[in-house]
Amino acid sequence: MIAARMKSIADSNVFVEESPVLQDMTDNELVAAIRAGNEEAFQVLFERHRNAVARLTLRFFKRREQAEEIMQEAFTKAYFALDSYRGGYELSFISWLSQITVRACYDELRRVQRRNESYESDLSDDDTAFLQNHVEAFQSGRQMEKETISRDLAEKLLSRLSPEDRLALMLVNGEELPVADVAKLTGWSEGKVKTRVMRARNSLRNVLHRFV
Amino acid sequence: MKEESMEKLIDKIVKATDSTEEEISAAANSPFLYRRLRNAIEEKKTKTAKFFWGELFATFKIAALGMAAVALLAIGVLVVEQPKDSHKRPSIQTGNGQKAPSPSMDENEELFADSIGLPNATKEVKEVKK
Repeated sequence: MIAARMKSIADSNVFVEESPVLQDMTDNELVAAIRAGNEEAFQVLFERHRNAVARLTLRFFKRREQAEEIMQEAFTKAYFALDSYRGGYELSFISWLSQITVRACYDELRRVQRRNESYESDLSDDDTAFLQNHVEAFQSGRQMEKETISRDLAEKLLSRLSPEDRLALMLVNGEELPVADVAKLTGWSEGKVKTRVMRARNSLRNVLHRFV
Repeated sequence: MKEESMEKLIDKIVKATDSTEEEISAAANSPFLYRRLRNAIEEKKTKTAKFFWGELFATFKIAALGMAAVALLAIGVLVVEQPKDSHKRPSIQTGNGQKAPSPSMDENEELFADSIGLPNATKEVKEVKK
């Protein structure tokens, strides 16, 4: 039934003029419409999934401009890769788009590392004092659960990790995705994902031990 | 420092990267984001088309140059292989031991023309025939 509907989409140009019809379509139907030359269908897909892509991108990049650039890159890649999207039972569109977004984030993390943009790695005196206070509180058994760590400080600490370690840590511990899902998103084996998460946590532990 | 406390601190660091709904909405609904995206797509399409034609032209250019090189080589080989006296006509031995010039191609043609009754045959050729 879906296949028949998709064929009718491909055969007609009615949808170009009637965008409300596009709103009711499933992701797979919209992809078929784009393949048939309906550019408006891509805008509907973009509007439908931009929040999910923004959420994932902001997990890795706190600057809004940078996040928007990655979003743009992810959607552009998705547009040109639409022919490779199989859909159906294999992979939902959002999972496929998330794979592309994760890949775009990973590429950007690697670019940042290659450019050696270490300005965020340098901890200020305030950051150091904050961390020392936290560590001492943990040592003495004081409760620090209510005090939150700033995004800036977190970025500074996380920028010391390798792109692979950071990616795995953010997806498994940040997004709280199952290891199997992260393996699918990254194209890595489950063993590699687990190893990367462990390495990331060890690296952060080593950094924090300097304040003990 | 207890390992358990350290793990909690690491979790806090990771959780600090959570974005608020406002931040997500601000990035997702950024004005002109879709316009910029469309521009990026169109730009890439143009680049791809240019690349395709450029590649096609380059391929044809290489093929044409290759064919020209082969043609030149073939002409060169023909020139070198041609015998030095190939331009000389073969001579005919006459009864008195002298070599008589062989009839030229024109003469042969005239003889042939005369034999089939064409009016183009010259006097000289007719005399030779007698």
